[in-house]
Amino acid sequence: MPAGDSFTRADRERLTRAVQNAEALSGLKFSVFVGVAEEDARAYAGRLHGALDDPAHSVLVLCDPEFHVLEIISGSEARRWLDDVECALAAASMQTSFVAGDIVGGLVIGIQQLGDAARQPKMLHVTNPN
Amino acid sequence: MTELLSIVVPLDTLAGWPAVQPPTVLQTLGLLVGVPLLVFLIVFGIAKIGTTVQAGRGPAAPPTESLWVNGRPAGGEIEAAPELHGLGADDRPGDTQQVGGAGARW
Repeated sequence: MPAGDSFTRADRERLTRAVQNAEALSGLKFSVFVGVAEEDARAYAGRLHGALDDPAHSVLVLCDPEFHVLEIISGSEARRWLDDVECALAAASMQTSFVAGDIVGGLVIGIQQLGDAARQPKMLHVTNPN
Repeated sequence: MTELLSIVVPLDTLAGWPAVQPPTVLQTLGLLVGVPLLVFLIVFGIAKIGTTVQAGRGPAAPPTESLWVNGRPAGGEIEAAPELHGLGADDRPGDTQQVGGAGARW
């Protein structure tokens, strides 16, 4: 069975849109993994994150609905724009929705929050005028 | 009891209206205790029915299949992230080369 069959098409579209918005706002790359993690979820999320195309500029959100685990991993460069406190705040927002059973809604809210937190304002004075 | 009620609500009979009998103790109790109790029972019953229906349906089944959004498709070997080495108990907060983030359980 292909991955992600438990999600409706609308769910996937919501998640994809949230990821695209977050990327457009922040300039970082966002990836979402929803599935069963290993016992050490943090290490597992780290390995998933490391396997991404550009880990340094990527943010991975891992959600394990079965074992109620959420991990957010931000790459070494992404950390400059998205610190751990902002990740923790987004995790708390997601946690609230997850407790209510709304996995997709929580992810969408959290990803949007992460994108907002990592927003990189355009600085005209350092932009090349050419 | 009628005197008690008259403190809150004037119980004067308007001119031209027939005189009414003062309510009995039972009627007053019914109004002050019975009606709120009935409302409480109805609300409790509705809540109980809702809970029973939800319990019968069971908790929403968690997604059993993994889903990737904007990442690697599922499957294949996952290599350890070089930048993750040292994360965990030996984590060095001052090292900016390490990954960051947060976690939560619910």
